[in-house]
Amino acid sequence: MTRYAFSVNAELCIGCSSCGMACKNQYNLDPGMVWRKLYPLSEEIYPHKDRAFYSLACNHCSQPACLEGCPVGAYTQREDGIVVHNEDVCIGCRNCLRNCPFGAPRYNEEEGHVEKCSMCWQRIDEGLLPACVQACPTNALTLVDLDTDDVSGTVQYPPGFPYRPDVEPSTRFVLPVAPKVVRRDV
Amino acid sequence: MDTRELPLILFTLLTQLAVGLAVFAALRQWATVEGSSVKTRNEWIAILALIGVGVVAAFFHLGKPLGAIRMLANIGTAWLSREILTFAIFGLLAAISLYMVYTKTANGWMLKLTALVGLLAVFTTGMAYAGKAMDAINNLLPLVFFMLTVFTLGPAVATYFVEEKTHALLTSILFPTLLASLVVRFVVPFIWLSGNAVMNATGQNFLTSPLHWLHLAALLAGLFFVRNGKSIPAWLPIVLLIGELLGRIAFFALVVASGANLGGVY
Amino acid sequence: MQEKNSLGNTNIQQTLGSKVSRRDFLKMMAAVGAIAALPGNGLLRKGPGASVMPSTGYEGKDAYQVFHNACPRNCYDTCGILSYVKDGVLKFVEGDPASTFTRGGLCVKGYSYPRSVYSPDRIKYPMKQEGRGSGNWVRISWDEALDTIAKKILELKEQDGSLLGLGMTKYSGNFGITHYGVEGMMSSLGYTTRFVGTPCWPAGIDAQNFDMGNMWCNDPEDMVHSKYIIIWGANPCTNSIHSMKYINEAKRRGAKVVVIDPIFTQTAAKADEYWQIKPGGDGALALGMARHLLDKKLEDKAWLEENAEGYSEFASYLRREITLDWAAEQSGIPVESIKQITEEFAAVKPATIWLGYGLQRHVNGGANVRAIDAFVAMTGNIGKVGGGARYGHLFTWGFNYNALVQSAPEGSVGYTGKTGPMGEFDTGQGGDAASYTDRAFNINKIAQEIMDATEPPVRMLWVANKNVLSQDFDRNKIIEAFKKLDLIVAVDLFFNPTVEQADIVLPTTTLFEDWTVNVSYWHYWMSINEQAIAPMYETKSDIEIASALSAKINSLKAGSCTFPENIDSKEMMVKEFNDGIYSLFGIKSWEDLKDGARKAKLVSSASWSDNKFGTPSTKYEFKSSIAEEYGHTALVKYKEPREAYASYRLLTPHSKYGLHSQFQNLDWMLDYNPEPLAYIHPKLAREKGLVDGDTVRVYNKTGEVQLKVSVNDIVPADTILMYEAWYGQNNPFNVNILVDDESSDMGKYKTGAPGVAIHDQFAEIEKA
Repeated sequence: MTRYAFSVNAELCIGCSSCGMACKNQYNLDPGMVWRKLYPLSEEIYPHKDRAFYSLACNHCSQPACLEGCPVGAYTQREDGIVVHNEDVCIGCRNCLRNCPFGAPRYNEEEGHVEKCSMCWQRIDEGLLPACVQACPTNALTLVDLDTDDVSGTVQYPPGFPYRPDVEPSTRFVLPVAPKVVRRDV
Repeated sequence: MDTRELPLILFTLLTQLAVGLAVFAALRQWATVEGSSVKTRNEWIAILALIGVGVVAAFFHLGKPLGAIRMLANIGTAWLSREILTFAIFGLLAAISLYMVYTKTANGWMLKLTALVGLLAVFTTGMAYAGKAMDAINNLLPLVFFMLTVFTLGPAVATYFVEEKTHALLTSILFPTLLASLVVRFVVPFIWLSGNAVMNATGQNFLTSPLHWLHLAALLAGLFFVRNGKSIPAWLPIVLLIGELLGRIAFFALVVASGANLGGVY
Repeated sequence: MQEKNSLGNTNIQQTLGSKVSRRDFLKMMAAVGAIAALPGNGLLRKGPGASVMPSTGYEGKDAYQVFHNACPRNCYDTCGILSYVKDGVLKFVEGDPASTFTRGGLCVKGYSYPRSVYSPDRIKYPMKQEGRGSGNWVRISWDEALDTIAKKILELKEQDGSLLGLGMTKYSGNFGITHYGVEGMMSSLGYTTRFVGTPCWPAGIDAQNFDMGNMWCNDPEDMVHSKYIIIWGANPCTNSIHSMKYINEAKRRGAKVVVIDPIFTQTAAKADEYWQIKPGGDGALALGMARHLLDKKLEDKAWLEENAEGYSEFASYLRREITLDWAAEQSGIPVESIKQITEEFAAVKPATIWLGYGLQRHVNGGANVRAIDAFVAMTGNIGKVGGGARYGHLFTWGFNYNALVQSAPEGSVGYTGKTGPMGEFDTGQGGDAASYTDRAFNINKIAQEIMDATEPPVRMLWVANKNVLSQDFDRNKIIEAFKKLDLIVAVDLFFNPTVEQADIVLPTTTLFEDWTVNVSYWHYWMSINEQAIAPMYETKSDIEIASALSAKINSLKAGSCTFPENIDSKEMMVKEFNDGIYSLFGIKSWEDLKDGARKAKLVSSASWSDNKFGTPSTKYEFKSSIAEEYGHTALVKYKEPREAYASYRLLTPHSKYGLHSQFQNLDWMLDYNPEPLAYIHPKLAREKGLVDGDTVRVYNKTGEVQLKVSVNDIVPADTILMYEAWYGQNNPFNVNILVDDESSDMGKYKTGAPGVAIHDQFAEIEKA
């Protein structure tokens, strides 16, 4: 069996946003449409603002709320866990925006349909990595197989991420570490 | 407020009003002295008109309105599909009801069935809007809010279709509904404050919003002016309609989605 | 030319022979069941009525022609690029997996390239501005543009008897080797005024040359072997993201990583330890560390005996004049920390220091680099794999510079001063024993130089590969100085602030529309840059412009220009290669690069591994006679920082979202970084009554900007931080409005002019 998931290592992540732009580049997204981006961790979670991030797009849940609530069946869940959205079937009712706890689907006003990360399934089927994963310069964002890879060092619900066992997101996380800081008196 | 939501604000409000009128049309036939000879033709025309306008409004919500017919594709898991189906049946039954009333072949069961299906439709709406992204209303609250609207606007607007003597019947439902609505809508935002960060933010949005307080004020006014239990002033349904509209706008505009807090403490 | 809508999508007329849009085509395919034959379709599970074909995305490897390109920006990483082209349209880009440094990925800027290539804001044809700065742009033909330019050049020659009234300023907008054809174009016209030097890294270059006889760093890929890494005034998480994997690997193998920087940068957040140093206090800190080495007898005596010149004098200087207390006061780093890091660094081998460019953008920047180099040398880490005082190199830049080297037309008259100008990439092909040379002005003081120039004054300016009005210093002074110029010609892609002040703009190609070759000043890879798509609209590359100008001016007056009138861009690229490059990279021909980037074959990943330095003594020079020649102390010594001229330090380092004035103006980039911010410490915010999101005025003697504030403890309480970038036409934000053109100490030796003390600036801040 295969169960693909993104693994987000916030310790290795250097906040470069290559992942996000690689996605925009792969799909020629309209300006204003962002499928993947970095979410900075608040100071309650990591002690320095804008210095630790989770790179998030779609979490390809086991029980995807988007798929369940879609009236036209624009979502499909593959055997390997990837949740694919079909823009041509979509009628832009935006019910999925009300259902995804992670805000993954985005509405494209000009096109009249919703869009979201579909884990570059076309690339995966050719044995390639998703564009974002390939882009990451530090292996912070990787593709894992939850059925066969060792993800024992990761967590499913880190701080800064909603606790939603009802949808069961597939993404796994490693938490960031803060350095020792020597400051001047000023 | 995101003006893209205006179509759904109208759709939910108008269809809930329509269902309310249907319930009271059926109720009048069942519970009043006139029985089966009660005149409900105008209500059914109004009900169909409201459904029609509501559905047209809902069309404008879609990015691709021409694809709307495909919305019945996922009745298996999607409440939204079920909502479309149930409202379609309600609409059909309302049309049949109108026909039967018009041709004086109405039997009580048809009207009651129509009203029941209408309530079922509001039930599906309530479930459809319990979106999993909206922590504060990912529960039975939308259903509760919508039912309160049905039983507030139903009897209130029905006053335009009935004689003064029927006001007592309407008030007997309206008064407790207004009381329940006031209590529920007043208390719930405070409860949200002790929820997670997303619910708390929603609670704060409501408690600091003029929309919310004006809605409650309208309900309070309603309570005050029907306390005699006998009659409903002619201007009151307008006030209640406006109040419900403001409350519905608040419902769509002020509930925070959990995706808005990514990276923050939940 | 295929039609394009504003998204750059194309009609595939040529493929189907009819006006069918891409969407329609896919729908057709679905209808005839062709979709079912595509891979992945058998993996459907749930979801009624859905076929799996979204209408955009990867279309399978056979759908594209793949070309090799190279990012020509001024960046350590100089990535190899794979360009996926379909029907003559660039669909998407990736990093070249053939380069272990690029490793298949670009960066947030590189991935936005397709958007810049097809940006609706791109300049499409030559235009003239009727009224400089008015915005009244009128389209003209290439013929008219070149005619105007040529006639002005001939007029200057007539008027002054030379072309010294024609100035050219160019820098790092495009480092493709053939782009030195701009300099070549100037040379082929005669002797002109050149703005020489570099705003970037000259102080450090001179310093490393004084110490070691060349700027030559280890292969950055050998940092995996380092046991101790100090990243000093550099921020690879922002500016060299591909280097981070080597630092991470070193860490994984047990290395300690320390970041020394005035700002708590992203790199600082990834280190084991971060030190918040006083800007400009680096030399004092390094000297303090060196003093502690002596005190603890931790210096590598054997290596110093063999390979150092002037060391004992340096050691005496340290004992005499440097104390740890003093170093702590000057740098803001506590004595205990200074001791600790010195002992830790000396305890392991190899240990390395990465010296950044921000570090030397101070009035004492060069001296500070010398001090840090000295510390590394004292610990015996020069010439070691995984060691070294890393700054940069030009080891792989030994091309022919065929486009650059052109001879002046017969009878040209020029400047009769000292030796001719050069840039830091000059490999010695420039000035020879001719009696005439170009006139050299300091590129970093363009405004002052233009204002002061006489006999003849500068009357015309050619700007290419540079955005003067965004990137040069004392912007207001530049506007003033430009009033003296009759004609300003800018060659560019977008209507940026320089173009806004130009009289004629010539539209140029992006890297995807051009043939060239690229190397890096950090890693040791070389990439070919193939022409992946035809030049868009009426754009021409720099050398195509040069040859067109040559043809035009010769048609007006024969013998005016020696630049070849008919060139083939690809041939010009091929002419850059020579046997030296071939043997260094172990290739037989440039065509070997079409399979992917290639790495130089190095004797050792360590520079100076044979300890044969390029100094006069052939040793590592703690005492440098050449330094003294150029007006510095021969011995590595402390140099005073700049005095503050306003209340708060102003730092304007580089943003990850732009490379100088490129990329940030794209709408795709604005999605990730919508607006400029001034970062201040909560303490300073409280003092000024400011909260997050307030609009503030930041101002000093040079100018003023207004922007939103972000309250953040990544800055010290006495500092204002703003990232330099150009946000596009409607946003007047420019940090250089606040930066004066004060010189850094070094740079004249190797680059012809001193650098700029970009980070020795100060400002006030108030709520707007």
